[in-house]
Amino acid sequence: MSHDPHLGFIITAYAFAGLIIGGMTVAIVTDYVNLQRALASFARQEKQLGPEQSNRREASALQLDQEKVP
Amino acid sequence: MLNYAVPANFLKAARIAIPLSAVATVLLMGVGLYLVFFVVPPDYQQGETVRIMYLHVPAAWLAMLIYLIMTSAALGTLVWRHPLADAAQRAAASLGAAFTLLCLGTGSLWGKPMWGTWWVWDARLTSVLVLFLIYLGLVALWRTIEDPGKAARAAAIFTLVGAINIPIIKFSVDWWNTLHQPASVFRLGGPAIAPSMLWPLVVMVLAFTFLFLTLYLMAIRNEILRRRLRRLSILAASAHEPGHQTASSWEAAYEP
Repeated sequence: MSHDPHLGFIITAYAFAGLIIGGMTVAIVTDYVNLQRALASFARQEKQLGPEQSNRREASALQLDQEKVP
Repeated sequence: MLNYAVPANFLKAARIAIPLSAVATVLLMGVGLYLVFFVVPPDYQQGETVRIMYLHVPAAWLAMLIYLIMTSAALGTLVWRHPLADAAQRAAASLGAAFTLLCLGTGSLWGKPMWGTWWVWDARLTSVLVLFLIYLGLVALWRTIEDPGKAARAAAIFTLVGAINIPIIKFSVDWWNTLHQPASVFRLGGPAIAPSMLWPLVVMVLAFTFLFLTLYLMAIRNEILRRRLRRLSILAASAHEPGHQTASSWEAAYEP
């Protein structure tokens, strides 16, 4: 394989694939980490609000998961 | 199955499915790459350059498969108005664009040494480029339209209209004279590719499919969390405004 005249194209293709796949993975994982941090920050705020208000807010947020698009 | 289409249940299922899918991806990719570099013989015409096929073909199939998944999700948004359908469609668009770019890039890198050119405007290459532009257009559409409900419906309609491109891509090599070769695997009369090259290709296609599945489940999970975050932000903003009536459920979630 090392004697193939087109070895550069093969290496570039696999490097390109690694870049694309790596980029996708990093983007999605980073997004997840940021979302978890933001949600954790809301969880801390809810603790400060008290149980009644935080339960109402959490119920409204979860209601979104069950409802249909109008 | 429909039970997992409820976002809350999906999140629970994803906690198990994502790691399993990731492990399958790593194992299959490891086996596939080993086969590609140490088992697959060089092609009698293309030599070692044939190894680019093991990236290009799986990427091409995924580019089309993802669009078919998006088309199903678009129907789910427009017909059943299911909230997870929109999240599924949106999550798929960026992944589809990435795999299509991978297909185009590896295709050029394969075409230059084999055809003597980086690009030709033949039916197959042009229709795949159109697919890539459709994916980019969908991503831009979601980002441009502020109202998420309107964005979801517009993107769903756009996706359904663009679905005509998929059979065009598939049959382009049969309908027109193209530089791109005709189908070698899924064709009448069976695969035209030698078994020693076919089975590693099957392994790589499976590896790429599990890779997509892993990333897709993670991306849908992110979309669900993002909507929950948006909802909490709106509720928090409402709570700080005295006398402000909290908008109801779904509409409130889409207020800026």
